[in-house]
Amino acid sequence: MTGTTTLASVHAAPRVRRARRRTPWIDRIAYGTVLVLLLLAVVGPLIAPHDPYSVDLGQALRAPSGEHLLGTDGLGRDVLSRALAGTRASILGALMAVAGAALIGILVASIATIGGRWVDDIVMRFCDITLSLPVMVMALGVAVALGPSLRSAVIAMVVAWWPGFARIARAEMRTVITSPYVEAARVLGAGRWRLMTRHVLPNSLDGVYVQATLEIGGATLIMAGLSFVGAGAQPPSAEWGAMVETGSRYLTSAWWISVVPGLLITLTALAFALTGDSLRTRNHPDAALS
Amino acid sequence: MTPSTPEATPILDVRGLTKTFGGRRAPQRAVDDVSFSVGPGAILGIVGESGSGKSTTLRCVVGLERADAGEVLFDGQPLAGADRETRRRFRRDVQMVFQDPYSSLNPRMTVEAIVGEGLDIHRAAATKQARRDRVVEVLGLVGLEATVLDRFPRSFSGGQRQRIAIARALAVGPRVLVCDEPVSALDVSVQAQVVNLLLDMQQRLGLAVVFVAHDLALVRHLCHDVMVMQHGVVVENGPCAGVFDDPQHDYTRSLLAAIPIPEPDRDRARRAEAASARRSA
Repeated sequence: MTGTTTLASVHAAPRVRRARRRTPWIDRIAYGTVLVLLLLAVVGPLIAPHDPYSVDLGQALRAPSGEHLLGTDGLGRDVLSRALAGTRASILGALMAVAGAALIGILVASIATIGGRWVDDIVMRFCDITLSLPVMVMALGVAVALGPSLRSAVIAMVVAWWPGFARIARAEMRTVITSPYVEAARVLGAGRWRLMTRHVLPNSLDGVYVQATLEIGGATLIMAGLSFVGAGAQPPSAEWGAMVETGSRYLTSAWWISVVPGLLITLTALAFALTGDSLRTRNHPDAALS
Repeated sequence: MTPSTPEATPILDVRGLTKTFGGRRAPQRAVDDVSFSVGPGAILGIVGESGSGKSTTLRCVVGLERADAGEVLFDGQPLAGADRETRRRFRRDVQMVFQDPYSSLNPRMTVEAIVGEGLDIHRAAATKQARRDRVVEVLGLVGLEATVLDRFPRSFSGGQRQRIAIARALAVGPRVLVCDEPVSALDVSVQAQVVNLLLDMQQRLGLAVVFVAHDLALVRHLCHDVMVMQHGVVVENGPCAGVFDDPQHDYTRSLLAAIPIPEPDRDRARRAEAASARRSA
């Protein structure tokens, strides 16, 4: 009996170490937070305990209690309800801004890639110029010029943000377009449209996706910033940046009005940044930040 | 092996091909006034050390690089300034097999999409079913089962990948196959299989083949004609038997001397002889 056991253990295949490491716990928390935030952006207004817009001056500036879990603001509106309702404007706004910027960036990068050296030079120098301006300053300028509103803020961010995506996409496309499988398609007689849509685009967008995730956090921050200075969402709309601004007048007496949306902004920015970084590490283990 | 027939019109006739890289400041002439021709059904080997301009020559011929000078005649017609239809036919009739089968297959396309792409481009299959049938047929030619259709390149070995790449080239029914060191990236154990596959295809389909290699033993086994290049210049050109048995150029001789003889005693004796010849010189 013992002999059999020994033989079996000798012949047992050595356990193969799994190539991929386990996802670190902090990344899991980030993924979870992102999911919850996205969910809130969809259902937030529905699960709000009070109407986020109903003014009740008699209930103004109440501290957190059983009736108003996170207190009320200067007009007696429920802070929790407004924060939940604000998820939609803040996060979906940021998502739209990043999606728009990524889309335009990819489009411009595609044109630069197939357009030949002159087109490439002109387009990319234009991107460099745009990139040399701080995003906030540029977005602020555009938003104010368009007239302050949530929509202007989104458009302003797309305008300020696309060159970053164009740069990333173009760098990847330049590598892919010289790869042998693209050359093989060229020898077969594939036209530019087919080369781009079948070969270059599907193989060069990983970096853009990761960057987009990484930037959603930053976009939430800028979005809130634009609203805070009055260039984005306008009162009375429930939006985190605007809420922080409204509450700043009562910071010493009713801290919860500003602190609640402020914490949410921080949480969102952090969660998306960590998620993006985690995705980047998975895609390219060498490019990990730490 | 059928010998090349010089009296027939060459299917591919390259004249005075020249390509310079590196701009005005530091020009590097990669290909310098190279001319050759390949008859229908003939196999031409191009040999030379790394950087001798073999690959660049091929790339200029198939249009991946724009040549600075020279012309390519296909079926007796010059390609430069040719009409759309002639170019289309060239794109279909001249196909290429690349060196590295790991990077020459799009990782996000299935085998069916890879092999069928040429059929789409040239609208060679009327229906989806016709396309699939043709893809299965060519896969069969290169020794792959129809069950691989929906799989992606990553699940194949190097040799299998190169078979897929060959199937892709053959799918559109070319008359010329241009191979850029098609086996040098493969394991030695599968090199022979792929070479024999190429030879088999050449004979069955009557293809003209241009075969770039640095393995001279392979070229001798495979080719009718051979062209020896050094520093972008053709130093020797002619039927394989003649060039290998009676090399005229020093460079060809040194290349031939570098082929190991698979008999240790003879190999050692030849090396000793060569060494003493060097000493006395």
